Amino acid sequence: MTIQPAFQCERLCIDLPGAPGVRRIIEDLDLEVGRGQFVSILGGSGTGKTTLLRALAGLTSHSSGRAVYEGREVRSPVPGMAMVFQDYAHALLMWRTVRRNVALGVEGRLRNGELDQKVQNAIRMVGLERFRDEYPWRLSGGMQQRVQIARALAMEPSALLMDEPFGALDAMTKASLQDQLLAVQAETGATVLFVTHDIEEAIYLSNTIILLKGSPAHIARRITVDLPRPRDQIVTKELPEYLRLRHQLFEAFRHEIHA
Amino acid sequence: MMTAVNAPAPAVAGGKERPWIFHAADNVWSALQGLLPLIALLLLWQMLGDSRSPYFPPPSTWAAALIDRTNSGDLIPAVLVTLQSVAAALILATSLGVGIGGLIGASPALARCLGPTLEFLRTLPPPTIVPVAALIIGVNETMKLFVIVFAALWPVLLNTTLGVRSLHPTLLEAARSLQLGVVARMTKIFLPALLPSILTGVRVAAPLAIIVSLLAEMLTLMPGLGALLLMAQRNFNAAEVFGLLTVVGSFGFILNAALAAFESWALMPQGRT
Repeated sequence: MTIQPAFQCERLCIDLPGAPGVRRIIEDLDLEVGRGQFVSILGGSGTGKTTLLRALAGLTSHSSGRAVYEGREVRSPVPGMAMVFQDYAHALLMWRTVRRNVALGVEGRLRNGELDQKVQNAIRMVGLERFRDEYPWRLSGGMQQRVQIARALAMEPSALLMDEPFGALDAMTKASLQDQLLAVQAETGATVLFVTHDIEEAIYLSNTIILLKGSPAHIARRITVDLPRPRDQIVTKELPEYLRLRHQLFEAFRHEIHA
Repeated sequence: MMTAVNAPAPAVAGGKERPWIFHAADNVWSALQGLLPLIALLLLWQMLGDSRSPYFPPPSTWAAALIDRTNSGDLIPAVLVTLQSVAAALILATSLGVGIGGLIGASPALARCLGPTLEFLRTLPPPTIVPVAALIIGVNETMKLFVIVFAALWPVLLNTTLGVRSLHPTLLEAARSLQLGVVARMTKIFLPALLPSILTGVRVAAPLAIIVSLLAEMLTLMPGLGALLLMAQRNFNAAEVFGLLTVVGSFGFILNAALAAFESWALMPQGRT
């Protein structure tokens, strides 16, 4: 069975303006992400993980090479993709209730009944039914991030692009959102590109981990995670394979951790 | 979650927000508390003042003078004319200020082009505009409106510009990645996000609009509170002058309170009041 790629990068180069002049962030990067895959982009701080994700989301333009989504060159945000930002407090509209925030991406395009049903479904998937009519600023950080995820889900994306979505949350909230995300992905079958600097999070969630390294960044390694699904915060993290991958990845980042 | 503590609110469902009207009532009450020293002073004046004084007639004579003016049919139309000019000018200044300010905030190139010109116009004192406007437009309501808008425009414009510049980059990117159209982005994201800045601008612009409206009326003797005030002064009617001053003061006070109530209602969903 051949898996049709959802994302494809060919010799992708990205330059960003900086104070001393233009800086090359990503150089000659080749990448292929199959449909329905959960791929984590892992790397140290400042390696260009977010830049790569933003280029694939059409929010940052690349200088040369190709960034392709479902056979289409990405130059600006493309239908079928939804982005989840780390900074939920600024990504949500604080004057709209949870329900109307979730509806934001789809409300112009659907009839009322259909809209309600999609919004309800997205809110159910993140478990916020009780807070449908509450304002986001009244909710905890974890709940606000769930609102943002629900807003992306309401658009029924075939690809979900997430930029360190759990980076600002405490450990317990993070674990519960990880499990929720895995359940959502199992239900929707969406391709997920997940940027993180958390090694254990990357192993726990992914099918494949892409290791970014260097400046300009390139893919240092591509690691396949062969852990059974559904995953479990306790059982999965005690499997020998999990521990082996954890060892391998910490080893790979050893000099960065000790630096 | 907020619950009614001292206000005898009708039993609202647990965990529900108090209706905005209670916030407005709170605002009015705290404003009235602030008026207590003034009321005490007026009472003192009334008790110690001499009702035959040509310069400092006590408050009871002001009331008499105002009742006279009301009965002669001058006061109410004058208040209405001034109110109408101020309200129309504020609406116009807000629309223009938000439009121009929004464009300047969004485009650094436009900011560079228009910046010095606007800076020059902004520093012109509004009274100096009156003669110019009277020459070009003539002494009519349009001229008055123009002069008031000219004065009231800047606070709204500058606040909107600053508001646009301080919109969070993540909000702009979220709008882009949701692939909303231009109109949807404006009405659903940018205008609500800018509302606090815009309303702050309007709050600053309102007193300016009143000042310039009265000024224009006094300088041109066009109908309105300003003209009435000037006529009373020319007739050496001190009681009427003081009475009209009270009317002007209350006028500003009520307008400001109304804007404050509107602001707390409009910003309620944002959790900023």
